[in-house]
Amino acid sequence: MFNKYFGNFILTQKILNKDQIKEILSKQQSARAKLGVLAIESGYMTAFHVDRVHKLQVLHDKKFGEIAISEGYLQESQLTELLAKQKTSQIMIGQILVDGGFLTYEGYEKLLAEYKKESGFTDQEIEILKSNNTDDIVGIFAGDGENSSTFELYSEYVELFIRNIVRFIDTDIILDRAYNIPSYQSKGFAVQEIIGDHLIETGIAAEEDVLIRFASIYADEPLVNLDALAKDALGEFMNSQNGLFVSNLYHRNINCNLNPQQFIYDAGIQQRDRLLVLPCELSFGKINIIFNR
Amino acid sequence: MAHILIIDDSAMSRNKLKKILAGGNHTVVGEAQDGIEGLDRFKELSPDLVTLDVTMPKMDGLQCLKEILAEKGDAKVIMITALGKGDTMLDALNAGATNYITKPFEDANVLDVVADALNQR
Repeated sequence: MFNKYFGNFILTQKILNKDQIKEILSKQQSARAKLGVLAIESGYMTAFHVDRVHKLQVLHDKKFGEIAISEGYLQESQLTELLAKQKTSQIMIGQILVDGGFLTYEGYEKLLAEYKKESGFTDQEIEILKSNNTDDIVGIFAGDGENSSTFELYSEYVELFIRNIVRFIDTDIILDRAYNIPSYQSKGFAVQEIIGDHLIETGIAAEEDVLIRFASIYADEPLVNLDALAKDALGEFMNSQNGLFVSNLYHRNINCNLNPQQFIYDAGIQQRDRLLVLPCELSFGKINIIFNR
Repeated sequence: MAHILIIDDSAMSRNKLKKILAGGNHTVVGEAQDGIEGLDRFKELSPDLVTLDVTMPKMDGLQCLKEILAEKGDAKVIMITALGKGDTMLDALNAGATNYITKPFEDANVLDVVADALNQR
């Protein structure tokens, strides 16, 4: 997942074009990450030190880790950690950039620092992005880390929502950070109210062309207009998502039900206690997941 | 294979079910968008099996189920719902529904539940 986020950043920096990024992402499954790249990403070594170890490797028949330790750039425990990471991690985009001659190690180090600054991701969050664990990743974007019953419910809701998008709509999904607003206005959105022990207004909003594409994929029909079938498909997606959510709550003795889903044009939702909006970039456009409790 | 009536207010759900059932060599003999129309079509078509959405306008699935069973006591009716757990499903099973299928549809699950229902006496 980190590759997608960082790949997007690289695209904005115009280092590679979209096709090159796609090719890189398709290659990532087969290769193994290099220790030098992992050491820079972990902040254990600088690009200068990695370059120096590589030069020394040409002179001495020794492994990267051995030289890094003998030169005092790495500690034993750090090397052990990097080796373990190397076994489990996918090849990272940074390595492909370096291997492909698009960047030097130093250039990669700088780019990574710029990315961290611009994205606001902490080192821990970047590690989570690399882990590919959907629920943990959603946790980064779901909100501001507040500890409340609304937030817990909301996190559970969006984790399920993202899993359903990945399952039925699009695996190519990039989340942005959620925000809380007093009211939300949209040209069109499918909404459904959860009622009972919890009262939650939920919805999915996007530009018309994105909604049509979303509906078309879910319905498995070639839709070109936001017609009755498209609106029905969007409503059915909400209904299935919310049905699963409410069924999960039922297992914990929380009894909720669903009002009929509806599609609304040019309307606004007013904040109740919290009106949370989670933006998601799909391969065909941006959608917002709405959660109002 | 079976002759099936689909009662569901969602056109998308009807289309999906039709495709899945056709894949299992079943014939969808009729469709209806609400409970009242569904009951009429049941009387008219005498299908082997009915798939019946729970939440619908005019007459909901639970009421329609009761009316169908009043018409034909051994009718095979599979309820369709987004809510797999809850009082509504228990009410439907207690009222005589053969089984239920939850949305979103999984092809294999739909065909298994239909086959089980058809095998029940």
